[in-house]
Amino acid sequence: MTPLVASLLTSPIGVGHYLVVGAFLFTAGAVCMATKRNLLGVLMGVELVLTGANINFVAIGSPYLSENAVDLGLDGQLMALFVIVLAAAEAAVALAIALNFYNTIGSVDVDQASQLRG
Amino acid sequence: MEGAPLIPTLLLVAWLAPLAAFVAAAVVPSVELRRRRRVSASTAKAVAQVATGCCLLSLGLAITAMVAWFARDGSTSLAAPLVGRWFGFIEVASLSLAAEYCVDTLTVLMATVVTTVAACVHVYSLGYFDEELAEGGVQDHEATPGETPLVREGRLHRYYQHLSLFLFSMLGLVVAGNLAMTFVFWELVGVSSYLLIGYYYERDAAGTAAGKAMLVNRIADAGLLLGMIALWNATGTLAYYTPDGGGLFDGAGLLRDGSASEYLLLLWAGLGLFCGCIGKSAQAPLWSWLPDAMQGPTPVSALVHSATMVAAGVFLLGRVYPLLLPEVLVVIASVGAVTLLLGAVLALGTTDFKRVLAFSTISQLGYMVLAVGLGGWVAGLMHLVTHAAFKALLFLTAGSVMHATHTGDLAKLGGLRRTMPRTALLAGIGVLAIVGAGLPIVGIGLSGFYSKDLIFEQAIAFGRENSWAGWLSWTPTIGAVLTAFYMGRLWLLAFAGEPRSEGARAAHESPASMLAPMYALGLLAILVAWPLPLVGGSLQAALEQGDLAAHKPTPGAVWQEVTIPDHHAHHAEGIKTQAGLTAFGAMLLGLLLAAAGYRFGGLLHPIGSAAIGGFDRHTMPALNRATAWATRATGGLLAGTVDRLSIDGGLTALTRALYHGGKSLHRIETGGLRHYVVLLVLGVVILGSLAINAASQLGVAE
Repeated sequence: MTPLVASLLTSPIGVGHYLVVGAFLFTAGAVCMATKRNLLGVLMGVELVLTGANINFVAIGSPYLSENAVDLGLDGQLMALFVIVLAAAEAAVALAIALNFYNTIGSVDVDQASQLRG
Repeated sequence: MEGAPLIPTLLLVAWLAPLAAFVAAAVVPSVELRRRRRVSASTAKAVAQVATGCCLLSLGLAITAMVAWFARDGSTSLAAPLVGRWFGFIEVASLSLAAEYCVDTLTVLMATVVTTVAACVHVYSLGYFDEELAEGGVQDHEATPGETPLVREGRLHRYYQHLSLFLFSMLGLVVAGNLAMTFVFWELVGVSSYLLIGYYYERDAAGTAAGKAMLVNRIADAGLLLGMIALWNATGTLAYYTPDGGGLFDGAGLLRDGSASEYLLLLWAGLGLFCGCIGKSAQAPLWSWLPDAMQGPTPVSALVHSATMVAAGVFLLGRVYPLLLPEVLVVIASVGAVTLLLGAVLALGTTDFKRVLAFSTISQLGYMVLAVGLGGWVAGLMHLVTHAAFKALLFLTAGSVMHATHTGDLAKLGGLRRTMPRTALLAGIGVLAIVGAGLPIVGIGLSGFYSKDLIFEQAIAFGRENSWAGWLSWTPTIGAVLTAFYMGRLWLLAFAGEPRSEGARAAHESPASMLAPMYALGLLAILVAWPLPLVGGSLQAALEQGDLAAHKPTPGAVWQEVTIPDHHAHHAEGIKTQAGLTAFGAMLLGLLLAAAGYRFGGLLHPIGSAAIGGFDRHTMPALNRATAWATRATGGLLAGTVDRLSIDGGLTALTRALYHGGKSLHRIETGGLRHYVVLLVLGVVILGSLAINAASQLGVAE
């Protein structure tokens, strides 16, 4: 066991733990994007990445987890809200693209989308 | 002090008068040419008279300036030159290009020499070029040999225009107070020499000779330019003297006493300056343009290619003498000695009147360069002055002979002393002056006697200081024997005996306008070095006033065996007698050989002529061609190799690398979305870790 993992396992819940969860979600999303051939699966991976980032924002911005809490302490939460809104918009646009993609190609396999290859 | 600003002003007017004549000679005939389609003889004559007038004005002013210079208040330092600025052109940082003057003994003497010879030539040309004014154009027999002669319009105005340009440039060179101005006028005399050599441009030989003179001089001038740049870099100034006591000579003194690398820089700069002199003064190995330059009109040969312009190289050496290190001086002396012998040997068997004189000019220039190189500033420049007088005289007699007989071939001359007695007498004076006729112990002789004796004295003084340099001190003696022989031969072949052609038989004496300048020069050739009866000065005393040679023996630093004797060394015990007797003996031997050759009819022996002529017309051109070919081939090979390997190859390699790099990079553009995602994530991870790493290092540093 490396000292970092050991300290995480022994210390009380703090920002570090949340960051580990966020990193896990980010990695899972990235791997999902890289491996899924289904366009909808790729979109899910994107959502996972965004969620991982959101967790990091909230954890670092939280006054309960950090010792020197700032007065309002809402920076991280506000940023997370923005990300959620953006994710909703992105999902709408991405689903429209997916629909058009399906209409054009007749499939949701992203590997078929290779017309711009150099 | 009244005298201080007076002399530069006199010289300024003397300098600019020929420019005015040049402009007038350029504008007026052009206007007439546009209006009437030809330049009338009266206009050409008027141009000639205006140019002659301006030249005489310059002569008067130069003489006045010289008198004012020697008569100025002697209580101040004798050698202190007058320096100042007329107008400036470019001022950038420490670079200052301006028309500055530097008036010292050398300047006033040289200005007088130049204007005197120029005045004689201007007047002489009025008579010499009478055919240019003929109705119905000029018939040129030499442009189309063997066919109907070429008929062209007379162009006397152009001749005088170029002559004025030459005089302007030469006087600018003489008064120049900084190296940049010297260089500009140095090139300008080259241009006017080019124009004057190519005066008969319908003749192939004239055009080729003009181009050759230009090209050969450009090679040499590259050295002068490099030396000038090196000096400017090292000292930050180009002016010889500045009014506050600084200047090039001062800076060079610092370099001389400075570190080894500074000394070497001054050495190279001195060699560069001398390289310019090699071209202009036709020293070995760049002498071959001068004999060809005889294609120009004979008065031009008298003025430009013997008396003044080619002596500009020696003048430059005299001017920059304080910049020349002992090592450079030895190089100069060696080149001068080689040239002296080469020119004299080539003059021995040449069969053309003017060409003999051309080789004799080369040889005499070798004398001057040798003398300067041996530390004999006075000897070299004194020979310059006397040579200007007697060589101009000899060329004018050559012109007179060719004017009367229409040939310069010695094989076709002879017996002219009966038909042209005055020319023969004057040529005899010139010959006696150039061989240095005089009585050694009494110390009386023609002008060449004094200057040649000084050179002999200098050579002996140099030989006493430097035991290794025996050949340098013996060269003048050998040269004197040869000089006496070829000059005696020239006179005997042209003027003695019986006429060898119809042209020589029908010769007639030249008109007064040609004889008068010859009489003047003849007087000068006899008298110029004599002590003045009332004032109590002489040419030698005047030159010694402005002597730039060192006052103590100077050993070389790099080559320590060299010691340049101090400027009084040639006055040492016994030198004068030894030099006088040697010179007298050499001259007598040469003249006796010539007389013996004449007596037994061997002066035009075909073997001698063939040997010398072959060397002159075949061996030397072949050598030159080989050198040029080798230079071009080496340069071409080098440039080709460098170009092909480094520049060409580099560019090709670069473009090839870019092309293949792009080609291999384009494979990662698969168009597959999932590949892009992987690359994106990898990129973020790499950049992010780099950023975190940098941030943590910054944090550690703080």
